[in-house]
Amino acid sequence: MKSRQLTRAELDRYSRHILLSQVGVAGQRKLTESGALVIGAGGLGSAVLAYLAAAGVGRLGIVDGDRVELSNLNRQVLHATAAVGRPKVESARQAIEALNPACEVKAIGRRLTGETARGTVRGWDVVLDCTDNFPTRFIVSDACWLEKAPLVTAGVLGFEGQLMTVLPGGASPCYRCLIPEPPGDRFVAACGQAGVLGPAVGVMGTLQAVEAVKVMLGIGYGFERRLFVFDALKGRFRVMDRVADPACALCGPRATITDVVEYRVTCCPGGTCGPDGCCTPAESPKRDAKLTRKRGRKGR
Amino acid sequence: MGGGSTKQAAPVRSVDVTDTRCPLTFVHVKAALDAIRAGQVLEVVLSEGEQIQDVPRSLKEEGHRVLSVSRQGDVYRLLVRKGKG
Repeated sequence: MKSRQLTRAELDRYSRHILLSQVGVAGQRKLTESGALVIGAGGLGSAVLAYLAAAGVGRLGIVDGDRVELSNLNRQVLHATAAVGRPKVESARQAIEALNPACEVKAIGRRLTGETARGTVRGWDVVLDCTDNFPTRFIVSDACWLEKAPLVTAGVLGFEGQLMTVLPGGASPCYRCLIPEPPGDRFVAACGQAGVLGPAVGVMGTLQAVEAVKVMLGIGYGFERRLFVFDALKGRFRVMDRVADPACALCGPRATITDVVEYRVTCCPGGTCGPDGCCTPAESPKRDAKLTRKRGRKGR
Repeated sequence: MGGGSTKQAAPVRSVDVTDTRCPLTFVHVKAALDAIRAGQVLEVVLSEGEQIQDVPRSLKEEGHRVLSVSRQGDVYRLLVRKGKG
């Protein structure tokens, strides 16, 4: 199945990949013929997009409806200072073109919704969830499972990051096996106040890129049955086994979810919803936490 | 496979890597091998020094069979039969 020869410039550019016996010429060609969809061009997405473009992935889809803000720049390293105010997908496209002009970018400058999700993830070789909120995470997870698209999902808050891979067709437990429903508002709220260490986001995004390359090449052993947890402050990496939940509503034998479920974020009392669906509380965070805890787990 | 080395090995492709430097040298050899089928023979033109020292060893490590190496003026002509790997 020889589709095309790599050019002399490609052999040079990707030489350090080609020298790896697990990649080689055939693997590198496969990358140039593969497509990865990146949902979120923020901190995780910056690392993912930079490494996948540099790795020679042929097509990169980017979904993000936001514009670059000054407060993004401590971690969203794909966006330059001059890009503040511009749509993230356009800033990302420009950065990727500078990195690797051979990479074809499909920029989708809209927020992913339950309605558009399945059509958006369909047909990509791998999908990377680089979002920053639970409602979108569940949309991506449901859509990927239903469309049988491999998913590499990660999240970072504070100094801690988590990552897992979900392969379709029973090859791994799904996202809902670990987190059946979005956590209550207590966790969703106040991300406008929550800090995050920029380089810790880069670690997790870079690890997502590693996993995505392995998925596209079909090599190695990934996090499809494990959860990776990184604590940057304590300097600790932990890997835990994940198992399928027989009662899972998405992948279990009596699954009830047949289409993408869209959760709505309920704002904390008096708070205002931000563009990411996060909430800027009007009252003290301590009191908000107490109030929202009483209101139950479901954010639907 | 007996008799492979005694049979006249006719290369189906040739690659001159004398203008490259390590590790690109082996990348170009790998690319040329990728373009032929297992069992077919590739001719590699190599320069004195690092290239002739490294390339035959790397080829063997990757499961290919070096059939012959001959000096032709300033360069070396290596024939390699592509392995199954």
